[in-house]
Amino acid sequence: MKFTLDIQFFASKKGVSSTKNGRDSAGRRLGAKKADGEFATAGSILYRQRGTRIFPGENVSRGGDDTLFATADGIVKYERLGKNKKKVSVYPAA
Amino acid sequence: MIQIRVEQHDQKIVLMKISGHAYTADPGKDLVCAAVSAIAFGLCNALDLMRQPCECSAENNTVLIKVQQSTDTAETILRTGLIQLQTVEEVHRDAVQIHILEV
Repeated sequence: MKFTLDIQFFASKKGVSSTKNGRDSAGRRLGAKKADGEFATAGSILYRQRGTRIFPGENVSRGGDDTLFATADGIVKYERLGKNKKKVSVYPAA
Repeated sequence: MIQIRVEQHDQKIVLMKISGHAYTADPGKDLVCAAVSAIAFGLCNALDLMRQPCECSAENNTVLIKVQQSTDTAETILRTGLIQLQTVEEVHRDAVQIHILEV
């Protein structure tokens, strides 16, 4: 036969499945930056988050991107807030 | 989508161009592609074996058949092929589209 049959002649590119997925953004490295009981200086970042998974407590403020940072030098303390929330505080070292 | 362009002159087929991708499954598993491939290659071989005055080529996802001089045999072969392709199109409209034009 002059023309040898290629049974997948009209298939999409050989060996490559036509998927439209396969993209993802780089990880944002969220989460705790200071552990419980660790010493933190004023202005240092304690917790990176999206939304308020953890609320600001004593001597802690929330930045524009919900980052929690210390507003005084002291020891970091992660505590409960109400029934099902958490907060982080910084207590000046005695 | 596999596009099939059929040109007729005085109701006789003078050109048939089959091109595109079926995209109904991954390469090697695409049944619609297999059906259309078999019909297209069969057409080319039939015209060649019957020594019909036609020019056939199959490359880059395109099978092109040009009729240099219309004969009853060539017309019968091409018409049969067109009906076979229409049979596939009937149940796979999302993957095969036939356009018949009078030129």
